[in-house]
Order: sequence, then C-alpha cells, then structure tokens
Amino acid sequence: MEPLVATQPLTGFFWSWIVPVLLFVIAFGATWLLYKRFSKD
Amino acid sequence: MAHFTILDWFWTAAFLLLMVGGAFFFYRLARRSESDFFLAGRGLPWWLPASSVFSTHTATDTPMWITGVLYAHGLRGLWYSFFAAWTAIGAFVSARIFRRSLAYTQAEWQTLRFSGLGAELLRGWLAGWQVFMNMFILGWVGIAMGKVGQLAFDWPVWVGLVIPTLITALYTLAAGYWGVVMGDFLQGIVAVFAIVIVTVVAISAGGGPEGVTTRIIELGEGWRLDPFAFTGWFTGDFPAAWWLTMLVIAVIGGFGMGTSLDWYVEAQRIQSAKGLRDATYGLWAGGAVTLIRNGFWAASILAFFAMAPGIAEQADYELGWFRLGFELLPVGLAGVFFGAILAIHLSTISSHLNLGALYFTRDLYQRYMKPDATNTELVWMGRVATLVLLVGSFFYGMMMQEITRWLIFALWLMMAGIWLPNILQVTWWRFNAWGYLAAWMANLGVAWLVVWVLPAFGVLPELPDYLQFWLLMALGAAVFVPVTLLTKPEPMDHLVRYYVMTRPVGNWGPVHREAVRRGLIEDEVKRTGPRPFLRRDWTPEEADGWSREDWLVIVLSPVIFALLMIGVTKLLLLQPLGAAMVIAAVALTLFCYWLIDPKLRAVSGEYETRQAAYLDDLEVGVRTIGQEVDHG
Repeated sequence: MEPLVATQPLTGFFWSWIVPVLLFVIAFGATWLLYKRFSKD
Repeated sequence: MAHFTILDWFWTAAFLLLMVGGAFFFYRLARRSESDFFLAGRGLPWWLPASSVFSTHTATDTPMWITGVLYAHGLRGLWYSFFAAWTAIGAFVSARIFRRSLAYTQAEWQTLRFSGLGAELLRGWLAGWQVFMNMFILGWVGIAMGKVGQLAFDWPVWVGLVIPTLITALYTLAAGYWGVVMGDFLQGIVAVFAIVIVTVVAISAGGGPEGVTTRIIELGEGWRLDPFAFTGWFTGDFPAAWWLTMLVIAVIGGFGMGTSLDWYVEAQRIQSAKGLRDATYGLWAGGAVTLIRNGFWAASILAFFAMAPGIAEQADYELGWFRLGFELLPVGLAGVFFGAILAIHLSTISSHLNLGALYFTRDLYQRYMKPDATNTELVWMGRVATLVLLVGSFFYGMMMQEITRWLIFALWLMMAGIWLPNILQVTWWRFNAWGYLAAWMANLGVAWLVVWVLPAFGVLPELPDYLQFWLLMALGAAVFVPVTLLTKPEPMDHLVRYYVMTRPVGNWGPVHREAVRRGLIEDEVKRTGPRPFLRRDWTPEEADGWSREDWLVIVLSPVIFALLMIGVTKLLLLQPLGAAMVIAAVALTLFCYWLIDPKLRAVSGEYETRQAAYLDDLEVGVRTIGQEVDHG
C-alpha cells in the first residue's frame, strides 16, 4: 500500500505529550466527579 | 499498518487503565440490589444514558462498515447509517411508553402488555433469544477486534478476541450496569476526541476542504458529493425505492419496540434514566450525537478517497479510517487512537455482557427458577450469568467464520417480518399474545420461503432486500391478522392496568373508555377559555395524553436528524448549504425543546410520585408466578 502522505502533518512535543495529557486529565477528572456525585446517594 | 513506539504503548496503556479502573470503582454502588446491578437504580440524568446510547451505537466493527459504505457510495452512503434514526421518534413515543412500564427488559414488557400463557411463552422466547443474540454479538465483535489486532500489529486473531473481553469482564462482573454506563461515558470522551481529530487531520492532509472536493470532481467522481445520487427507481447500486424503504423502517420504526435490533440494548438505557423526561432526552441526544459522528466520519472518508481513490477490494478500503489514524497521527497520538479503538470495543463488550446477563437473571432465573431470590442472590446470579455469556461468546467467536452467512440471514429474518407486529403491539389494543406469537412463527417460515426456497424452484425471482421487506411484511400480516381476530383480546382488566400505567399512543379507544368508566383516569380534561394553538402550560392529567404538540415534535425530529447528519459533512467540506442545514437543525431543536419540555416536565414529575407504588406491585408480580395478583 502506498503511504497516504509523504510526511506526517502533526509533530513535536505539543501533539505527542501536551494533547494526550490534557485528554487524560479531562477523562480522569470526569470519572472522579461522577464517582463523587453518585456515591453520596 | 501501525508502527508503534514505547510512547504510543504508554498512552494506550494509560487510557486502558483509566477506563477499566474508573469503571471498576463503581462496584460499591452495583452490589446494592438487582436494580443497581442492571439499571443503576433507575437514577441517571439524561446525559449518562445519552453517552451510553452513543457508545452502544459505536461497535468494534462500525468504523469498518461505515468506511466501507462511504468509500463505495460517497455521501449517499450516509443513509446506510440512518437506521439509527429510529431514535428520532422513538425518544418521544416508545421510550416514554417503555419507561412508564418499568419493565427491566423487552421480555418482561411482554407480560405487562399481554397476559396468560401466551405472554409467558413470549417472555421465555424473547429472553432465550436475547441471551443467544448477546453471545453471538460478543463473538462477532470479538472476531472483529481479533482482525484489527492482526492487521495493525500482526497479533494472532485469538489475542484480540480473548484479551480485551477478559479485561472488560473485570469491571462488568464487579460493577454491573453502573460500570457499563460510566465506562461508556469515559470511552465516549476518548472516542469522540479520536473521531474529531482524525477528521480534521485527514481533511487537512487531503488539501483542505476545497482540495478534497476539487480532487474528487477532477477524478470525475463529483456524484460522490451528492447525498441523493440515486441510480433510478429500482435499478443500479442506489435505487430510490431502497432509500424510501430505509426511511420507513428507520423513521416509522420509532413507534414500535424491537423494530431495530438496537432497541433491546437501548431499552436498558431508557429504563435506567431517572424519569420520563430524562429517558426521552437521553435516547434523542444519543441518536443525534451518533448521526453527527457519522457526518464527521463521512468527511474523513471522502478525504481518504481523495488521497487513495483506486482501492478495489472491500477488505482493503474498509480499513480507511484505521489507516488515517495510524498513518497521519504522530507518535503518542497514535497510541491514544488505538486507545480509542479499544475504548469502542470495551464499551460494546461490556454492554452486551450485562444485557445478556440481565435477560438470564431477570427473565429466566428470577421468573421461572427462583421467584423469591434476594437482592444479594440476584446480584451474584448476574455475575454468574456474565461469566456464562463470556464463555459462550468465545465459542461463537471461534466458529464465526463458518456461520456468518447463515446468521446474517437469521438476523435479517428477525427484523423484516417482525417489524410491523413490533409497532402494532405498542399502538393497537386488539393485538394479542397469540397474534404476536403467530407473527414470529410465520416470520420464520415465510422468510425461509421468500429468501431461499421459492427462488431456488424458480417460483419467485431473487428479490433485492428492500422488496423482500415489503413482501415479508404482507405475507406475515396474512397470518397474524386472522390469528389475532380469531382469538380473544387480552382480558380488559389487564389492558386497563397497562393503559393507565403507560398511556400508549395509537388505537386504544375501547380501553381508554373503560379506564374512564372505572374512574381511573379523566376523559378529556375540561378547561375554560380557548386552547392556544401551541400549549405550554400543562397539568399532569392533561400531559398524560397525546396532543398536537407531541405530533409536531414527532414530525420534526427525523427532519432534524437528517439535516444534522448531511449538514455536518457538507459544513466540514465547506459545501453549499452545509452551514444552513446545521443552523436549521439547531433552530428546530431549540423550538422542539421550547414546545415539549413543559409537557415532559409535567408528566415526568407526576409519574415519579406514582412510580414507587407501581414498583412494589411489579415486584410482587414477579415473585408470585402462576397466581393472579390483585391489582386493586
């Protein structure tokens, strides 16, 4: 199969680290808030 | 296909651990009761069932088959995914009726709507069928995951079939439906992120919105940008008759229960909402987000087509979305992308493990084997049933290669000939258990004849599927309508109790009049002064009925869904009318909310005060099998 593009469009520290960390923090925070909200019933 | 580094595996593992650990923690809530283990205690605000409806409409093989139809058909391929639009009317009709019935499952609902031996036969049949179906679906998606692992990383197929399922079983066994719905919410966040970023990167890599569309037109494939690129009324790859049949099945199907295979999964989400209003908004928002997601996918696949237009084999081009993610995303983000693929898979597995266990526990074990089981016993039975489903799914997965063709046929059978009876059981008071049973049996026989036997003998030509649908419907009706009219209606006591509890839509006149005569409900509530054309202040008694406000929303809802799905793709590719379609959809949504919310609040608030008494009654009914319960 031919590669779709010659060079990868997104590179660098921002895309490899900052974006995944932000997503992880959002998902972790959501879990924590959900648990806090529903476990006090 | 994928070249992973340590950093990629780190992010895949981090998100996997978060999803499994986060969902597992809810085991403390799930162990309290049967209602907690299977319905999260019927206490969820609308956005949690909504994210779960989205997640259950996103299965492991969905990225492959959606990519397949979009690569083959262009924008008109989106209509193949429009079957999810049963949620447009379903949210305002069948979801409200089902939530009011308080049934855990569709099998249990059969005994509330019908009575006697016929109803018990239906309940046992549907429960057994659903236990089997959930095992089959688990095997199906397990093999799909096995193939993804093989294509991306050269793993043996069994790795993708077995390992993710065992990981999912950890939190599904411990936390039941609480774990499923929380896992779905988390997995929804990760999956939506992956779908949006791959779409943006793909369009940009294809030369931007104008670059993609210009390239497609240069290739002489401009028809791919037209969602209505019909090939004639009955001819070619995309006949208008297919499109009209699809619209009927999807849109009108919202009046019934079981008209889509997804109904059985979503019924659990509907029942887990904390009230009628939350059940309605949960199903509607989940369906809307699913179709918006399909719009994003379509834009990314059109970009993929512009970059790689000449792929002939379906097995190659349906990997288009996976290729976009693995080839265009940088180190690290590719790991998150695989985490999203795993998230989609985990949510599919957990949903079907818990749903199959629910049918086994509630409709087979508790109903027929141990009616007086305690909540502790029922939660443990739920866990045992989850394990049974797990083991059964591995067997299905291993023989999936040989049986696929037959099972796809069996699935098609289940849905085509039974579509109309599934609407009639909700909307026609006279339809009875024997009529519905006859419809199921006729369906099995007639479908066999129409699809296989008669064409083999040259009696019938081999019909395309959309014509088979209408023929199967007519032949089925020729059996179940006479059976219904030749047998007695359900006992009036049973019908009145069901009617007062659920207030169904459609032809229920005789039952309504009897309920009024008994003083259980008021007939047309009298008000002084003229009625405004669109009413927004309701008493609970008035809001129980169906009025022009409901019908206006029922008509507009599928229109909104179509505008959203097509509009999003056109907007992403900066096509004419894209922005206008999305703006129109948002405006119509706000209007529908303005119109129907006061009514839903009135009916929802009042119903919640009665729910506790109904629930006590329902539990007594479950625990005293074989004795008629005095419903007072």
